[in-house]
Amino acid sequence: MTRLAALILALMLAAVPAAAETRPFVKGSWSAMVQAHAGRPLVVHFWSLTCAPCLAELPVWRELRRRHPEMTLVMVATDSIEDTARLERTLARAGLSDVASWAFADDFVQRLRFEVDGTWQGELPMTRLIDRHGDGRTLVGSLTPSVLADWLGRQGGGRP
Amino acid sequence: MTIIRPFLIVLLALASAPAGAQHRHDAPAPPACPPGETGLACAKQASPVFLGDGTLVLVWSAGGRVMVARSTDRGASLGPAVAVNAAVEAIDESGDARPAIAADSRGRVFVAYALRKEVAFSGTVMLSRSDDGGLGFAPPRKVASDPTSQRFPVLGVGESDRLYLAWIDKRGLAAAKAAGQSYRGAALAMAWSDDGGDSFVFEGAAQHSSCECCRIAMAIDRHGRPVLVWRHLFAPNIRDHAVMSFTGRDSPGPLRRLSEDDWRIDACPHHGPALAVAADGSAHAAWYTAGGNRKGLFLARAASAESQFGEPRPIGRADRSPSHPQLLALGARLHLAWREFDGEVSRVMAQHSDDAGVSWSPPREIAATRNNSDRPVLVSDGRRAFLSWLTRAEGWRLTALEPAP
Repeated sequence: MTRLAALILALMLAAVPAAAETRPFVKGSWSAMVQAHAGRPLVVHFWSLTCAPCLAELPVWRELRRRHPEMTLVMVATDSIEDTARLERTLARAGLSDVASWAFADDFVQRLRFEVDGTWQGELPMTRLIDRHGDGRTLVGSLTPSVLADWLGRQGGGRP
Repeated sequence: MTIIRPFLIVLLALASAPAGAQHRHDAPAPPACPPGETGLACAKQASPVFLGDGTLVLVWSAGGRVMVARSTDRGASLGPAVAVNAAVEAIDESGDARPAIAADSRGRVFVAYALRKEVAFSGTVMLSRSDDGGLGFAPPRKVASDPTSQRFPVLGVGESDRLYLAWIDKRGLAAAKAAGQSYRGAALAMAWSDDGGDSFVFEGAAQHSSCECCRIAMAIDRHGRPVLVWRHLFAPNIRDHAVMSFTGRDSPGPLRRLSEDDWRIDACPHHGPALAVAADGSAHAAWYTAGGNRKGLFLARAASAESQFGEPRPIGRADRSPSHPQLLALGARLHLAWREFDGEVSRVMAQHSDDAGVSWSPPREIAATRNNSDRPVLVSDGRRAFLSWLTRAEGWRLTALEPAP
């Protein structure tokens, strides 16, 4: 590919509706993320471009954010950070362009998963709920919105 | 950063292998592998088989090719690799997808794999045969009569060198859709051949409503007929395991539920089971579940492949995320292996049983690695059992499960 073609492609990519910048999820990212939200309930949703139920569920997350504006949601794609352009396009299309977005950026995926939940074998979609005391709960598979709503209801308050 | 990133993305896009995100489950291949690099060091998985003369034949996919190499010194060295497919293709190699390999009594070697199609989560199963012990392969051919989708092929060789294939097939789903009906999951499809894959005695769906994304386990029973264990999709969304044996040479028997784990999940576990039939005819299955009734890795035993499986017993250390079980029957001994991970180190652990699975030796570590690793594979040359394992840091290795006799 010529330099000109690369430039055109770059401009095309730049023209895509911008989501919040996708950050690299590496070793230690998980504990840093949990620490950064210490004392506040946190919802971290793991998804992938290659996971059909995940893609089908993205509009559900938009609706959940609308209904629960107090919810702090972070989306982590288990695709490579190299797929950032496609990830951000997909989130933008689902109306999630302003959500905090991360993508796996460490090839040792098994270790990343273990840091999040030692029993997580990679099933997607997966949602990890961290309450204000730092206690976690894992929801594997397509989300039952009422389960999340109940959990949020028990958190009392939300953002301080 | 905002300015630089689009250029970076272009560079990365140019540098990366066939476009499209792949599921990055445990891929041991280094990220630096250039496109088209077909070496074992660039593979995510490798699967072995021993021929009658003691030659080991190893298959892997890398750089869009399915590659085969032989070892005549019990894995200490590998000869030159040959390609099974003629050109770079989108080989299905994510999650539980991997090329399968088997050999018959005449030294013919069979390789089956799936090509990914443009439509997401669909593929085409291809089969190729070597008549010279894996030195060269005939052009791969499609197996299925239906074009919709076939993935996750496995191979077995039964009585009179009958070749059996099983895979996950979406023809039932396509037909139901066309008829405006609903369909749960995919189908377990099979084919068998009495002429080394040139023609098929049977080709079609054997069971409907399997899970869509888990490798099937196939073993050959004492009658030389296949027994299969797979993750099924019981109504409404219970991904528990099922077992099927043959009631006659050409007759797949009914589906039986292996265990009531009650794993209700709308997701793809990419975590298939293991199966072995022991010398006394007893059947042994191992599998992963995160069901309401039990969570973790489990082993169950049945007096025969047609009998009810007993109470599942847990395998491995629950705090080390045990996964990806393997079972191998060799003479009077049964071998069980699986992988554990403690956050830094992956270990392949093994146990054996000399009383057809009634009692088992304590778990012991066979091999370990500190980076990415393939699922462990057990293989035997008819006399000894080995672990075949591809790891990022160490490469491929064959480790005897017990000392030489």
